[in-house]
Amino acid sequence: MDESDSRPALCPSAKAEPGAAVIGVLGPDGRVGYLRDWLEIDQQFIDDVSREGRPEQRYRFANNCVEHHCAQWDGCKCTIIERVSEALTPIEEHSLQPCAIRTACRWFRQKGPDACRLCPMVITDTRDEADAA
Amino acid sequence: MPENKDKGPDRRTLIAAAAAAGAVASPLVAQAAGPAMARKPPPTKIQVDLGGISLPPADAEALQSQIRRAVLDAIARAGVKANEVPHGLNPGWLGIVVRPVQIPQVQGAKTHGVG
Repeated sequence: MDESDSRPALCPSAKAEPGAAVIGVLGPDGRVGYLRDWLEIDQQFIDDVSREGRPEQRYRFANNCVEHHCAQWDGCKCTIIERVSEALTPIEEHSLQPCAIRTACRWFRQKGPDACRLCPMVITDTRDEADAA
Repeated sequence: MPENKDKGPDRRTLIAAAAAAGAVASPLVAQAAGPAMARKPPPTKIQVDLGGISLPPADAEALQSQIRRAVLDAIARAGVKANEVPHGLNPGWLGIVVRPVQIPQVQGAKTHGVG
């Protein structure tokens, strides 16, 4: 896709940490709804939402794609969206939801609009509390 | 001939019909897309435009910070609770753990206003 964009790519499924941005909120329908604007989070926000469990299970965060520093990077691309796209059918939507990071999004750069139709079905952290311990 | 004890709808028939109608993308999606799922309410828009009012830069920055704090608080409240999501916190897509692991803290590399 738009690999010519020289801006650093952003990970749309980053950890909740100060400096990251909240870009989506899990809705009651089990899908993620997106914020229109980049909204940086701080430790207070993380503390607030952590009372209900790990933030990554109920929110989506963006931060810089760290490429080879990430276990999901295979050397030239993010494997997450590749695996998700192999397993799921994109949501049939004529128009894409607003997104604060689209043009810089790593997944969008790899998969284009299909990434945006898969993204609402992805939760960053699916582990049980016991698994995470 | 074995007796058919189940007088209800045949589950496989229902799934096949739903799949034929394009309603079910995969078994995993079928599992997650239950009738108990609630519809999302319409998104909330909050816009602040001070119009012709001009504030000193420090006051404007403080106000901006307060608004940002209030919005973050609202988002924190808007997040669903564990017991509010049908089928658990996550629909269970594939069981993929997409959380990056063991990555170093990234400092000073934030991108604002993209997209």
